[in-house]
Amino acid sequence: MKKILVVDDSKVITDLVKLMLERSGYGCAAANSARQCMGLLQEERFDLILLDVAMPETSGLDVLDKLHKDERQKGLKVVLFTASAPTEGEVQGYVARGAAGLIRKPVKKEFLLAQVEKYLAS
Amino acid sequence: MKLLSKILLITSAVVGIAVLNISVLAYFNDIRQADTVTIDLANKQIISLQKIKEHSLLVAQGELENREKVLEYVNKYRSERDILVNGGFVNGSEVKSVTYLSPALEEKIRSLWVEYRTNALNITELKVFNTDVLDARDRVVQNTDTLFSMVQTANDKLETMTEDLSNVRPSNISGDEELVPDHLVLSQAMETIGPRLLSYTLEVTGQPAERFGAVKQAELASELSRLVASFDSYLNIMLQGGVSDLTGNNVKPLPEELQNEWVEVKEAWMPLKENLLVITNNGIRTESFQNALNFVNANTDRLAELLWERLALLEADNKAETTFTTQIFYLLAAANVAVFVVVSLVITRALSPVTKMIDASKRIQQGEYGIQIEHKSGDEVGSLVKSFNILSTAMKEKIEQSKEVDKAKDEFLAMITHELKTPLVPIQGYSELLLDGTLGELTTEQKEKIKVVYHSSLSLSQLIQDLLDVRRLELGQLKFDKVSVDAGQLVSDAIKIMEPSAAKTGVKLTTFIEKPTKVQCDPGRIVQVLTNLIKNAIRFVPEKEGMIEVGVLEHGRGALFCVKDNGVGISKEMQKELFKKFYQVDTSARRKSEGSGLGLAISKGIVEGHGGEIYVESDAGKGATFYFTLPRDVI
Repeated sequence: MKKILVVDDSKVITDLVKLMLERSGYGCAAANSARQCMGLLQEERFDLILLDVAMPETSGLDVLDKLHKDERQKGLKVVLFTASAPTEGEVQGYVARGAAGLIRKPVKKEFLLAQVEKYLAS
Repeated sequence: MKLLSKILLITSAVVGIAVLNISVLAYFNDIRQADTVTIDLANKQIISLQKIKEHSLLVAQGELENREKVLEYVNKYRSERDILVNGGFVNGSEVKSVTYLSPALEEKIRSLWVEYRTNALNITELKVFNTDVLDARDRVVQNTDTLFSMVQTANDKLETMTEDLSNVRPSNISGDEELVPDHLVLSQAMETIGPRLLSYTLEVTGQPAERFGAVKQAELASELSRLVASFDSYLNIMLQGGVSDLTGNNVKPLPEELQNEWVEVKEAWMPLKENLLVITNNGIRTESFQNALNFVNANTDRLAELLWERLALLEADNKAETTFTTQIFYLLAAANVAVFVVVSLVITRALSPVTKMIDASKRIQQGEYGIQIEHKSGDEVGSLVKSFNILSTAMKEKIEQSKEVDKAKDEFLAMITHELKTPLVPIQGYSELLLDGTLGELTTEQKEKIKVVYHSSLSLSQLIQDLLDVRRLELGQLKFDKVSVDAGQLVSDAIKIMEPSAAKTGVKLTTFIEKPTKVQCDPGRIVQVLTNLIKNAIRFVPEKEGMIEVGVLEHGRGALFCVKDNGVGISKEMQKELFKKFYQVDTSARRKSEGSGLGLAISKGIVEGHGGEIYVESDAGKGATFYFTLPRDVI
């Protein structure tokens, strides 16, 4: 079973996304801050992390940079998850920093599952 | 100083120097001309003087018609003298008085001229030839032949006698033996003198004296006088005895028997001698005429020398003046250059800020704000520079302010987008989960209401996205990642996206792709335009009977896309407003889900951002066709 970590400062959102993914058969954990996220990553190994960009204190992009440098997290797919509307250029910048891709909020369940499946397969 | 005053000042300076140039040139030209004329006149005066002498000599030689010429040149000299001394005009040119050169010289010239003129006038008036002399000459010419033949006869006789004496009684006339040769020497001398008396007389009284000048004539006159004296003395010795200068002997008178012929000679000689003495004592010309002639002859050169001296002074003065003129010209040239330099400097200095302002304006156009120009002056250019600097500063402030405002707006928009979308995540997500039964089965009514929530959240999400796009289009921040794609592929992609919603309402969606055409565009954005147009069409076609045709064909220098429907159509008035922001077609015409009113505005922005154009063709009630073009891929 593939394991996915959902990171968002809003618990409402992590609950929703967790629900969508678990019902589709993925193993799922949620973190509501960058610190929690890093803690969970120390304890467990995940296949994919759905990472909110705009979080207080440490942003998703800082987490992305840390993970990109971290040798132990080499197989981990980082998919950014954002409610802001980055331009194509910005998205390419994120990919260059190590992101596998980006999913815009709000997201339809069908689209979310298709994307997750695509990134896990890549 | 005001610009106008500066221009007036410069103009005055230029006009002033021009006037100075012209007047100095004119003044010196006059002086030069006057100088030339004066020198010319002084030369002419000398010529006149020489002419007086020349013609006087001709008069003296009997060519009396030259008297008029002498008078003419005296008058000419006089008028020339008047102008030179008193000043005046020659052929319209002014001649200055030359007396300033040397008053002493002028006085010498004047006093000599007074005397000279009197004599010259005498030459024109006085009787030239001495009548007595002429008469005497005539008599000499008439009588000398007689005398000479008498002398010859007497001489012949004496010679014969001498031979007889020496033959008949060579020794008994002892005293005579010595005397005879002396007498013979005298008689022979008198015989040779005879013809010479005539020729000398003719030459002394000759007119014109072609072969001899006046001086030679005088010499001949004294020679003639000597001959007369000799002849007279020899004759007396013959008759009365005396010391002969020919032999140095004391000669006794001729013997009585030999004297007769010589007495006759003496009788003929006496009147002739008188006539010859008239000639030798008086000369051919009257004394008063000769005096006048001698004066003119002797003083012409003296007077001419004085005049030459004056001419030399005049020329020296003129030369000095020329040097002065040259200096004035150099000075004038220097003044001209100075004025030119000053004028150039003033103009350059006055206008240099204008050039600076033009440069600064160009730099401002290129986005360099707040340029200040250094220039202080009281004229209009000065105030213009001041205004320019104020304007430049104000502009910089405004630009900075507006940049700050734009930045704030952008930040605000990004924040709003984020903050609006975040709450939509659970609304949309949970509605979906409720609808698909993940959270348990709902009643039909519950499902219907949740569906409304779900679709509203989708609309709201789309509206937020559209607002963001519109804003980015306005700011020019919507960047197109252009790639070369097949136009038909874009249509297919759009159809794939829109097919489900078309199917839901029973609208028939067809495509026609005339010919594969490559276009240069941002595919995502063009698909967005196509889906916007299809979405609009679905809204306005009748359910079940709706037909929408989406196609692309080659057109001019690119591709022409079209979305054709059989809906209610759009009136001409509406067509004009259609592509404006937030424009909504009349509510009553709307059938299905609401649009944001931004779709066409965004589509127009995207198409125009690609260098294409978008337009609609429609008649109310007969459907509408939306067209847009894209330039062909340039390989």
